[in-house]
Amino acid sequence: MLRILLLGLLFGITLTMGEVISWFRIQEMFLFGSFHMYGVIGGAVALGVVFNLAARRYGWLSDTGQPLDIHQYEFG
Amino acid sequence: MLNMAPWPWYITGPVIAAVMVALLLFGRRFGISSNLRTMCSIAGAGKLSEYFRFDWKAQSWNLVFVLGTGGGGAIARFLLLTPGPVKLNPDTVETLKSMNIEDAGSAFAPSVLFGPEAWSNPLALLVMLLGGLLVGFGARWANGCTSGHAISGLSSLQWPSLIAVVGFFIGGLTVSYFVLPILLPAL
Repeated sequence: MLRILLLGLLFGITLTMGEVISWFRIQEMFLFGSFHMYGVIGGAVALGVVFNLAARRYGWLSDTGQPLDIHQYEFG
Repeated sequence: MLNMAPWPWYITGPVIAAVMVALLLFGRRFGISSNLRTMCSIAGAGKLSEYFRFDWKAQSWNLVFVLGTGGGGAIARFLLLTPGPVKLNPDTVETLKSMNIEDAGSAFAPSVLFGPEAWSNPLALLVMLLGGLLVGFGARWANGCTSGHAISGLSSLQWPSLIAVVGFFIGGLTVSYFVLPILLPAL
């Protein structure tokens, strides 16, 4: 559980240091005033896609040997 | 305290991806708003609806994650980040000032909504409360929020997530261009 807490801390620090939680940054994004938020989201998604494709291709498992818990969203 | 500069997108984005990857490798998954369901279940909402009758204890790790997220935000705010305004595009500053958001470009968040004076502004309180309700409703209706759909879902190339994210964005644009110009000056 400690590592989950530490990951949470890293996530909170990142959102704040990257100013992603600033209402102003979000507003600037919707007014197309800056690349910042698009870079943050696009960068995270691009790297996430690379990871997911590699995980699928090479059959990567979690540390307990289980398949990765990729949630399958459904149209409902 | 350490007076660090804000992180650019090319650091922030990859760290967010790393957090998502680490959670998957730890046998968990990245998604914040599922905690809303967990918290309602803990509070006893299972009496009202089948939806809340699930094994929430298996999800309690995610509450620890969110607790860490809040703590991490406080650490960054009070120990790491240089106190100062978010440096915005001057055009954005002008647009927001025309809507009576005077501290655009000189604060981290608009004080009319997030500052202590919001407590004595009934309309601001109502807007925040309504906003929270809509966020909670939308996140459950779409079965995910920005973290689940935009980061986890798009990363695993899922159509429902792409549609959800397009929906988030259309919603944000609609509010930014049609609602806020009326709402913000009234605050």
